[in-house]
Amino acid sequence: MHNSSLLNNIVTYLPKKNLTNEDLARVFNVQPEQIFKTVGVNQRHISGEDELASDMGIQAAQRLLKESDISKDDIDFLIFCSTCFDYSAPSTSCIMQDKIGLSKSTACIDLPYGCSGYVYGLAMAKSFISSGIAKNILFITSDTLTKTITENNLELKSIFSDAASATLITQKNSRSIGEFVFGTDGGGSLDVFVSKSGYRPPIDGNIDACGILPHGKLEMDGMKVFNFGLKIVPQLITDTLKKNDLTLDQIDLFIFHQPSRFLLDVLRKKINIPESKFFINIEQHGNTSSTSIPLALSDAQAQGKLKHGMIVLLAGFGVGYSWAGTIIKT
Amino acid sequence: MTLEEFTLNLEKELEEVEVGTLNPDTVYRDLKNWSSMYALIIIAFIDFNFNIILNSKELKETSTIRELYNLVKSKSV
Repeated sequence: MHNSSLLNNIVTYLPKKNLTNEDLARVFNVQPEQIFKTVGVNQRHISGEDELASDMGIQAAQRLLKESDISKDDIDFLIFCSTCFDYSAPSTSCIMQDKIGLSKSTACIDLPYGCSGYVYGLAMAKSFISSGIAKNILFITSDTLTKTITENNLELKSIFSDAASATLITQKNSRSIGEFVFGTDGGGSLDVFVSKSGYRPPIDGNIDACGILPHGKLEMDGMKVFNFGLKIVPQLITDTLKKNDLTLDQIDLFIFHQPSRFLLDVLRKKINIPESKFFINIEQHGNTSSTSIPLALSDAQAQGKLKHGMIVLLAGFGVGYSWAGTIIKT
Repeated sequence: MTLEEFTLNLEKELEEVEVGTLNPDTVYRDLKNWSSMYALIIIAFIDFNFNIILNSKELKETSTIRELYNLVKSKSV
């Protein structure tokens, strides 16, 4: 593995267990075809009962470091992006530093973001490197949101999935990362959120834990989240292109966060992106939150749709509400 | 887009609805196989054609295609 391209420095990890439409159909007494038609997902990855987001992230990081020509001692910054931490304190990235075997001079920080998290992490990594704070950054994403879904919620079980990624950002490959656009609308913070997962008491006043869900309960107003995507993403793309002095035609591949097949199709048509330049892999993986973009980058490369010398637009958007866009040159 | 065109075009978007099923006075929520997915298809159709994003409250205030069309027209002004 060489370090000149960001693309050659991304490794993903998928848990062994898959949940298919047939599995869901048996439990919920519906047709598997109907599940696919609604969310556009064939299978999701389910983390093991004792498998945490940090465990999955460590797996991805260890493989990345094994394949890389950079040694563990060369890593001077670890960013862990997730919404599924081991504890509220200490930072899970501190625990991961020790388990991965990184140097004790490594700076560690948690980035508690979901769908927009990968782009946020790239921005942090790029700025840490360009300001001279760090030279080689290990950026890990990982989420286990399936642990926060109640057994009777077909909608969320159909969409969400667990996965992790590790990206190595170096002085050399950070130059291939373009300019960033960000946005936030905390007014929609409860449209998709994990209730009973922090200090704030639940709205219904019920302070008991969520039954079998000790990590909190994922709740989503699908229509509001859909409308958020329709409203925000086209402008995010326009702004990201403008910030990078590019036009839509100059982008070789568009890689969006993968929230649902239908929303992706609608956005592609609305923004007027040709089908051949729009990558979708939600069918095979479901919505993997912070890992959706690196997983898409990795899959697009494996499928030969992403090659060196291409200009790729990345767009993350969702929980927060939070959104972020950038360009990478592969 | 006239009311008739609106009805026809919307019918094309709702894949499972047979041709000729919809008319301006159809109560769209009573359609066979109605689901939240249909609501998203309607929202996307109106956004694509009129650049108007209806929220769930606005959608719930309409029941027929005609009412939906009138709502869109009132917001287009």
